Amino acid sequence: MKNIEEDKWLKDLFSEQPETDLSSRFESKLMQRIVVLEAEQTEKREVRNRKLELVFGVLGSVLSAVGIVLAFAFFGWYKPLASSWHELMDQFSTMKMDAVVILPIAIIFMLLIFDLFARKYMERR
Amino acid sequence: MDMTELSDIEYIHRIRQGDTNAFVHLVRRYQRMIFSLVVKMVGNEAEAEDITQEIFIKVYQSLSKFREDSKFSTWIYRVACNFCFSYLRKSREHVISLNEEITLVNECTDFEEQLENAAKEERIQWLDAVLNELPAEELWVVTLYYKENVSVHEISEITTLSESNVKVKLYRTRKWIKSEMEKRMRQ
Repeated sequence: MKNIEEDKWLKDLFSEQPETDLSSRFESKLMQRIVVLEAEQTEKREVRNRKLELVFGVLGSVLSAVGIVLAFAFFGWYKPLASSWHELMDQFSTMKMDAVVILPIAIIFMLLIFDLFARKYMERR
Repeated sequence: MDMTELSDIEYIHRIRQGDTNAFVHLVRRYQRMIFSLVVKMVGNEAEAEDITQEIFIKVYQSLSKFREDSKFSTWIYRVACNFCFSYLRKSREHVISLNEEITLVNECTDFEEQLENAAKEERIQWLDAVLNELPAEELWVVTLYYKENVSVHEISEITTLSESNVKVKLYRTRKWIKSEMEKRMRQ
């Protein structure tokens, strides 16, 4: 291969080419688009965060409710409902639980759901 | 501190920290280079300006992918190069095969003398016409090297071609440009 430095004529030709200028609005138009783009991305991020918060909120509430039911079942309000899984399943299937146990569980579960919707409402505001 | 004195990397850090306005300094620094390359690629200033806008939008969106292991100028050229190639693939299918045309080259000993004797406007017009016929990759390589004075090493990083491949492309393209210029000079 011949060396690429034998090319002064081509360098000169390129240097003779007139410079082309961008229009005066180029920069402002570009930055406007960037600002819009940035706003759209921020909005997308917020929507995604809200979705994640909702998913984790529901998951957290469900886990809390399950935890509370199990805590009442095994440790009881004033006496345990059951001492084993088998006994607990038996209690549920035969509905032997009394109102003293069921009522607090239902109230706490409703409070958790209310809390979830309240948070969603506050986020929208 | 005066923002215009910052390096590319410092601007990039500011943009990553949420200072969108810092991007305008990078735009000012590179817009002419990118635009003049794109004008060569598409041959139309209005179209080139739109493409340059899209390239800078792409650059802004991809800034998080810039790993700072190469110069920012190399990276921005690479983004522009990829963008232009994909754009030209759709719009410029008529380009000739350089491999076929190169065999037609007849060495002309007094070529440079004849070129100097031609009017400047004619030379500019001939080169424009010849460049317009070049395949995208060759056009990109030759413009970076001769117009923007980018080194062979940097061109190989931008185009992901090997350095020897870049040199071969430069050599063959220069020969082809010479033959095409000669044809025009004889007309």
